[in-house]
Amino acid sequence: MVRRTLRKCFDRRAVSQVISAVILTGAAIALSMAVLAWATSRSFDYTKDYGEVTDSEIARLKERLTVECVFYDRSSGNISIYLLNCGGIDNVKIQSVHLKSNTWQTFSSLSLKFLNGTTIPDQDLDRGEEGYVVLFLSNTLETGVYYCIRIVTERGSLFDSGFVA
Amino acid sequence: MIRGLLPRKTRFGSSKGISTVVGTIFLVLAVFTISTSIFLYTLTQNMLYNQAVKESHQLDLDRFSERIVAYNTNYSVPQAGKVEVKVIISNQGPLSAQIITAWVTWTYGNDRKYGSQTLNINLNPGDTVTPTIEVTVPGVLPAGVFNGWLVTARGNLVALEEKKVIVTASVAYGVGSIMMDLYNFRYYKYKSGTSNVLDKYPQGTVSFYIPSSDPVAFGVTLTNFDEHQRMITLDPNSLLWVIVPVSDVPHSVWWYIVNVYPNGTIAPRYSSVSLKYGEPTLIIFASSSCLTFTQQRKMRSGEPAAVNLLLHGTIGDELYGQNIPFVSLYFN
Repeated sequence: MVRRTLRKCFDRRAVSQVISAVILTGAAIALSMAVLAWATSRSFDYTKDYGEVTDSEIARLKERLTVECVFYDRSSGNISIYLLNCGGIDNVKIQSVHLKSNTWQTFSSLSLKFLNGTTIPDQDLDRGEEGYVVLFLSNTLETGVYYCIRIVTERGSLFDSGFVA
Repeated sequence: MIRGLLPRKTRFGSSKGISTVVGTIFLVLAVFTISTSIFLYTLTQNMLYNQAVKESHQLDLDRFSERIVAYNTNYSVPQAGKVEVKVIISNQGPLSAQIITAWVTWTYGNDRKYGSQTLNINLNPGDTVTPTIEVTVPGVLPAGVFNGWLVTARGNLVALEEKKVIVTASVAYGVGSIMMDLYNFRYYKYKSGTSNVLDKYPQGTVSFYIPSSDPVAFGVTLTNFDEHQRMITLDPNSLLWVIVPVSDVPHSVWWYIVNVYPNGTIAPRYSSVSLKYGEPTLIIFASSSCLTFTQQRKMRSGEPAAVNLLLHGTIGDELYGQNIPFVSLYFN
């Protein structure tokens, strides 16, 4: 009886079973946590990318620019383009303006000014704001000919207009 | 060996089973949590996008629904560099509208200028207003062609429709097809040191009191109101005749028509000037001789004088001649 009891007390085979179960469970939990963290990170990246795409699309949808006036100064050869942000979003920045004569001429790094001639500090048009840019042409335009201009915003919207030189 | 292990397994259970259950629970939780969050986020973003599309369409719809008309426009130049626009603006659309800017362009020959004025005119549906808008256009003159348009807050451009008022008495048979703008009769002095360059051209000085201390030239704004809308061309015999009511010689002096370059220099030889229908045109009279330019002499001071504008040329394919009186000058 005593011998049997002692043998049970010092039998280590059951202990090893428990330890192995704990180790396996711990490993499973650790692995699961790692997988969860990885999956969360991936889903976060996905939602972030998706959010950025939809946000930029939404912003682009709300952009509206009206060309109020295009004036070609025959003496200086410059074109002044007057714009109004009539859309539903602020911070409309002009990335480039394209002028079509025989070929397309591109003008970038344009300085946006208020109608009174002062430079707009943040170089963008908020809702209801009016401003203008000046294109400095290297060549003169033919008098009486219709020219097309295309304004491209930083969000990727295009606005077309035209004028007679 | 294997058989010896079996009872123990039965007694203590499978360790692999516990970890599988735990792993499965975690996996299910992870999949559920992540997929739910992605699904909800995607749904929210799609909703926002659809909302933006709807707003964008509404923006366009409102813009297209706007119906503003501006008519009976009358341009005048009360002072140099200022254009006064009198116009009737009516909101014929179903939406309220706001006029935020007025633009005016002025063309005179090859000279083109423009200006704008910020406004704040609010119009409810059915409203009609008759504002007087003053637009700064540097260098503008009463002569020439004016065009204008308004800009609404929604980004629509509204043309200022001009109603041409023809003074019937001025163009009836027996009076002629050319109308003179009496209130913009002007004179020019010559730039100092020159005998053929007009000072302050094309503005000049609008006055009926002419200095006699210097030689002068005259500017008259003429408009062709021919009922058949034919072109009128003025030949070199057209002149401005000043008649002085004195008995001694000279009784009168006349200034022949000349061409003037944009910088104010008078062309040495006259070439025909044409008056298009309805287009006010500034005509300069400066020469003492017909066809070629010679500066006219000074006038005597302290005398009033009548002016007759003797115009010769063609109207369409026919010969034409008209005498326009009405101006009276005083040489001081």
